[in-house]
Amino acid sequence: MAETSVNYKCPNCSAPLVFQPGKDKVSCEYCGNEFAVSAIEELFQKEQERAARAAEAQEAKWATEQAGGQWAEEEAAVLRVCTCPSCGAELVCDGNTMATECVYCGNPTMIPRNFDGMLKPDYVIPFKKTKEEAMAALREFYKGKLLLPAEFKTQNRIEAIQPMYVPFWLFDSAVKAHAGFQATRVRVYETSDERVTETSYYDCERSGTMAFARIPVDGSEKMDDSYMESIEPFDYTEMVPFSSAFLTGFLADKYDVDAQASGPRADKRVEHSAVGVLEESVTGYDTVACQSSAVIKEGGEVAYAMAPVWILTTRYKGTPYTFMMNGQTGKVVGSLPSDKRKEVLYPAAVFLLVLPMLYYLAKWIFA
Amino acid sequence: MRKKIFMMLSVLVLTVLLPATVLAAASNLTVPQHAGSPVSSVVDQAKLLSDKQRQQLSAQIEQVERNHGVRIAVVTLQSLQGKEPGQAADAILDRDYADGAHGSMVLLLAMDTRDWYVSTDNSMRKRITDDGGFAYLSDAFLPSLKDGDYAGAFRQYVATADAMLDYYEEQGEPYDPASEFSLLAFIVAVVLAGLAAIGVWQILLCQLNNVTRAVAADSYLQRDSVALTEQSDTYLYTDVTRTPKAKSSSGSSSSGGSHGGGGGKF
Repeated sequence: MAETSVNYKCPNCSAPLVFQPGKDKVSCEYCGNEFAVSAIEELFQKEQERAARAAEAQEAKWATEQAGGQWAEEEAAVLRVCTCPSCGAELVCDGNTMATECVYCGNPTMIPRNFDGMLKPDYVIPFKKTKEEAMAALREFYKGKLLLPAEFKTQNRIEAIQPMYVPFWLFDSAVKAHAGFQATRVRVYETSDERVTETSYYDCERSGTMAFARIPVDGSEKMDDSYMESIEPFDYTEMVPFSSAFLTGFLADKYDVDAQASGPRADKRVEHSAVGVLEESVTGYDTVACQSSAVIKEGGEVAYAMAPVWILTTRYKGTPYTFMMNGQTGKVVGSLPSDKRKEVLYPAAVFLLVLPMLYYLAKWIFA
Repeated sequence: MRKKIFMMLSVLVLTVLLPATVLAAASNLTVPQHAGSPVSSVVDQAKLLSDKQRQQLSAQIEQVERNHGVRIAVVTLQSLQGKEPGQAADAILDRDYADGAHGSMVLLLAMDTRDWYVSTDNSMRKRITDDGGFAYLSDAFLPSLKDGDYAGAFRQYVATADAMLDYYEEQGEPYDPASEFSLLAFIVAVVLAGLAAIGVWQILLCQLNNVTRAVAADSYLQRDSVALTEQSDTYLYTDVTRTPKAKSSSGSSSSGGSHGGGGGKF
């Protein structure tokens, strides 16, 4: 986390440091370490600069107003919205493709009504994976799951899997990143009667610039962010300008989280990666730990896109379980219920199997 | 006058005979022989036991010997005269107590060097093994021996040997404490097996869900856009930790060919 204020403190124990005029070294009264005054001044000057930059970074905003466009009247006329009375999801489809069940909660009753507007996406990533491929992936996903209840598999709902375009905000950003790392070099040697460990501490300052392109953050509140982040990445080279023709035969979710609200999620991911890039340049040490960082967004463009997802939600004992497949790359993600009886049986079998072996092993060790 | 002469003669006889007896026992490491009768199972040359204790111990040993058809002896000496305790005990066993139908065993104590040694012949070795059985036997009497409770130590030595011989006759195999139920090992095994079961349970549960949040945006970083604008490393200080090395310790053990058992200091 970036700090916005700085105190002079001992790099070892964080106790306040007191400078004596005219001396070139300063000692920490708490841990007894001695530091060169010049090194401490340089260290905290950098800290102050970073604190100022962090304050600057907090003020930078994404240019969200450019994301999305307006529908032509004829486009809007053929669109319909199907609403789930159970969870409130609103799925957009063309007049010929009506949602038969809610992809989020599995509710089989969807209420159609006229399209009442939303931003028109800038881009769409077309589906590449067919329904057969999605069904095969789902069957494969079920394999080897020892705790999966048998009746869940035999419900034969695989064919109900649906293709849906999920609304995404794509964030482009160029950033300036600054980070201070504490690095150590450890030297261990032995004398005749003791082992000596010398740990040398260094302050490593790194700054750099870098750019990130099209970080996706899903714009649907109903869609679990973890699911969408799990089926990343998408291949943007196949992304094309949006046309309502892509909706034929597919569902599309209406975004209900705007770009401004989605921005912080992209910021967090950018900050994590930017600091990681700087950390990669701190080499030649045994340990490296980030002490503080500031990532300043210099440019922040946002686009609105639709990403293809095969999705199936099955209710089991009242709880919805969702399976998803990236409609472009085929990457699968999902959660499945567990059979409570098997949850007891398998670990119990392992317990009983290893208990005698461990008993004799322990007895042999303690003998 | 007659009394004086008698006393002088007694002193003379004792002066001549007693050292001769002690020296004979010490130098030859044999116990006093009684022609035509088996050597006593308790030879307390170091005078560690009272008469009553000696009698009680002899009775206890006699009972065990009768029950199991073995010879069990306790021999205490003031000195081994520089001989190895193991060799001395083996020699005493072979010379004086080798007539046990189902095996013989001698516990030898040397008071000047505070050595103890238990020697067993091959038959006894099958009943009280060198590996597990001997350790069990010695653990039974050594604490009392170290405390100076010699009568108690000898009682425990005989009683433990009796119990081990009983076990052999009932089970057909020598007693080995390693075959006993170990509560500590069981608790450790239960804890480890429990952890293994929890581990398996967690692995199986994890199989059911592969949903994970993305914390970074590495896939969207444009690698060719990365430019480092500042890179400075400043030495701060050095922390030195000194850990004393552990002192090594040594121990010894031995095993024989025709005799079993073992010994040490008390």
